[in-house]
Amino acid sequence: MRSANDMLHGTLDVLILRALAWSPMHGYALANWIGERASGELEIADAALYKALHRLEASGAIDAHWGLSENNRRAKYYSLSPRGRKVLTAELETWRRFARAVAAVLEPADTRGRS
Amino acid sequence: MSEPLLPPRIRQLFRLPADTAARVANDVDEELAFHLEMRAKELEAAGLSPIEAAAEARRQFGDTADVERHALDVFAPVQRRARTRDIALGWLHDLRIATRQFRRAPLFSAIAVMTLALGIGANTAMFSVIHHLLLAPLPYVDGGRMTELRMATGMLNMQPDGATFGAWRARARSFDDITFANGSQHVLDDGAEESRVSAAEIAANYFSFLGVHPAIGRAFTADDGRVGAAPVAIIGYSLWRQRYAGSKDAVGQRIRVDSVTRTIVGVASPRLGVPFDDGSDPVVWMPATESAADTYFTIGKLRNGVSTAVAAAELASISATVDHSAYKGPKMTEARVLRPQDLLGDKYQRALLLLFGAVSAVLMIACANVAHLLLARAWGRQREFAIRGALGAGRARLARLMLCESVVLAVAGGIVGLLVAKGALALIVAYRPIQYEGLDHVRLEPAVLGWTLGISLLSAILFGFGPALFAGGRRASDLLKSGTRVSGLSGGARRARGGMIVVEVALSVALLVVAGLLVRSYDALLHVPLGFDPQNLSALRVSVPASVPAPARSALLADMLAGVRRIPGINDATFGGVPLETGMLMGDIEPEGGRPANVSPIRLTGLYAVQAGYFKLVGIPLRGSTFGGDTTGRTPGPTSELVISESLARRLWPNGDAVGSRMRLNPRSDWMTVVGVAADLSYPGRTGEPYDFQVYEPALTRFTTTEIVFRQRVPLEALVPAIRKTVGAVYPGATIVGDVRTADGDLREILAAPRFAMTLLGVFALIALSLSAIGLYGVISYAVGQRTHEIGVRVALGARPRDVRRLVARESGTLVGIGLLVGLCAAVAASRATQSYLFGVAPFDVVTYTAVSVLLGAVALLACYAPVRRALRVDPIVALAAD
Repeated sequence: MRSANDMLHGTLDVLILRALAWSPMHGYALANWIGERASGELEIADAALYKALHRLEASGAIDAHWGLSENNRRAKYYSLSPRGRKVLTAELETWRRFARAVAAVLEPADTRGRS
Repeated sequence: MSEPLLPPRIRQLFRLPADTAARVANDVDEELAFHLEMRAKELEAAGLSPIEAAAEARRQFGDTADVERHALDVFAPVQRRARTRDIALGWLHDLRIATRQFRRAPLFSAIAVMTLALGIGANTAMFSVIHHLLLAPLPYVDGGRMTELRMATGMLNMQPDGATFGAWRARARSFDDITFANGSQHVLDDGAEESRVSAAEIAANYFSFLGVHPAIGRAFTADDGRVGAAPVAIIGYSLWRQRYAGSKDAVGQRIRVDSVTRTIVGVASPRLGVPFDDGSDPVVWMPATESAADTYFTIGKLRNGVSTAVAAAELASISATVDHSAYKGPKMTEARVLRPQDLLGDKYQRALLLLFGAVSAVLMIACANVAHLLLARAWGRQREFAIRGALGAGRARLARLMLCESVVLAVAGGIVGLLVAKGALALIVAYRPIQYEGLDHVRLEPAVLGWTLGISLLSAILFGFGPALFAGGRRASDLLKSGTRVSGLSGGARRARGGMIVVEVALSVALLVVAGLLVRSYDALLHVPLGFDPQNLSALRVSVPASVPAPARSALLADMLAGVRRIPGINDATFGGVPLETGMLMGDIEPEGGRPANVSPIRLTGLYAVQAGYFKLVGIPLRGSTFGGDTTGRTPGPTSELVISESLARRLWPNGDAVGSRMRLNPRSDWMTVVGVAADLSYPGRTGEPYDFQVYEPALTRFTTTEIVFRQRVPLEALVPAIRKTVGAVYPGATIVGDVRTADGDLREILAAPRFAMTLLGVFALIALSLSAIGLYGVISYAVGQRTHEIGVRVALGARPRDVRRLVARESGTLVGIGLLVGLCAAVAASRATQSYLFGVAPFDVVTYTAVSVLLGAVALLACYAPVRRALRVDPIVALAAD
């Protein structure tokens, strides 16, 4: 059984992987990307985001390289590695099954039908 | 996107260091700074002051120090892995370069590999023997704790009698369990034909002691061994497969062993064998009774952590309380707890270690030779090292490269060495002395492979050290700067090479001396005056079943003797054995009137039970007369008469003649008259008790076995069928025990062991000598090559060939001379250690030492001949133009 913390880690990891699957980006852009899409519903501390990035980099799920940012500054860019892509696919599947299951319990089909 | 973080492979390509912790920290700092700056800019755009914006960005971010700590944590293992991989890849890379180097120089590589293979192979073969005989535990569960138990007194030790065995087994706390077993030969009758097979009689707890179950059926129970129990047997695995095709129905079938029909109750697991026996796997297992324990191996499994000494003390204290009245043998107050290696005996063990020392010396010489080769090669590769150095390879790296080359050579040498060892073991087994059956089971076991790898790598360090130092040294890397060619090895390197030659020569000399001493002592053994005539002399042992009463037995044996005498091709026969096989007489021999004051008690002498005509037939000169009694064996000789050997007579009666005097064999026996004094017998290689003195007593034919000795005039093989027929015709139940033996065969057997040791050591010594000669040749050739320029100048200035010769001779002469001196000193030490193997030759035998010195000098001259010729042919013009 995963602990609550693991659950959070896992969720953040999937979010990062999903973002990077869209495009390689640096940490700041990533924070904004997630912030925009969660429309303020998901409060993620920047520190936690960077910890997750470093953890994923060490595990080989994402690659990192230094590049130039939009305003010509040195920035560390992250991109999805082949291994990360596999992890993302698996995690998304798990997440969808989980979400379906939770939804099925919380919103049975008849009530959903009425709304 | 410039300045990428380097992926490992790229880093590897350019040999850049792996990420460090400092670098990770820097990266995190820069990354976070960028983030904070971007966020602050955004906030500024939203209307905050620069200071407020920076503070807000920090607040939103959280703890930056925590992120950095976390990064250091998660990247640490990644860095470690990268470093390990870098190191591994670095070695792999160097090994590949090294392999390539050797492919380019096939002759050099072949010589180096073969030299090493010879050294490593000989060493591996000897180690296999030592591992098998001295180190490996018996191949059973807890085999390392299995010991053979004996009762003993002084130098005698024997199997415990039934009473002692029972007491040990019931009361000894030093052992987990005690059992007994004995391998022997029995006749198996499968209905169609009889065959002699190896069988074993075992205690009821034998299988559980070994920690095995029968493959099928059951083990023996205590009841199976009782007198009068229904005869049962367990058959060996191989017999089960062959005769019963591995069928379960084998249990319950009948089998005839020694004319007794037994019911099969089980099948033993494959290759079970008997610990401490000769290693053969019994075909039939039969239950034995405890009362007959003294004819078996008594085997104890020591309790964990109990020493053999403690266990022996406990057994001895138990024996002291046992009632020995039923036991007729000598009184035994001590006990022995023997591991397999103890049973080999000190002398055998030391012989093995001596041989191992010899092969180690050979290996060292081989290493020295390869070091010479590598050094010479390294000198020729100075330019390569200089270029590598200029391209950025550090000295340590160049040294490592050379070490890699050494490792590649050593591993190749080790692999070929294993083949050499396999061949050597096959030769050892094929030519082993007949009594060393244990050698047949020597294999290249996994532990031995580990040993081979170990000594190969050790060799690599030994012979690779010098070349590695040279390659990593300053001289080579300075070469390009100075633009000149370094003209020779540094003084240090030259001294090192000289030192190696001295060691090689010294080791060879020591080995040669020891081998020479063994050759001389073998020669002495061959010429020992035996005291009898062994030509065409043979003996056999006949056995009449105990069911025949004693008087009838005498008559039967006399009939057999008469029958043997009548066989065409046999000149004469009488009761008695070949004098090389001696019985033993224990006790305190005493002449009538008491032992002379200055004569120490005589405890052990050879004892021969012979018939009146024995001395004449065997050819032992006799003073006085032989026993009374007839020569047919029908009436035994008078039990009051003895014949003793010359030296025993002199010892007991220093001032008078023994003939006619009386003596007794121990304080309890009757007085006997010495009727004759026989010439001394001697046993090649054996001295001391019981071989110094001989006592002959009239053969008594009331025992169940008796020996018949005869002299034949046709080959023995032609006579054996007739002898068997004769014995069988006199009494169908009589058997011939063992083989009919010849005195020549016995002699060969006695001499086989010293000849074997001599041959092995001789071969090792010759290998050592040839390797040293090659090494010397290499070093002198090299020295001459180095001095071509100098010699050219000298010749141009008018040096004569004699001067050139002297120039070369001085260098080699000094090395060989020092080596010889050191070697002779080492030989003195080594021959002291071998003293107990020497026979009829002093450890400081002048002949051997001189011969070895002369031989070495001759070989050294030969090794220097070609280099000197080359030096003499030096053309001053060419030599001087070479620069």
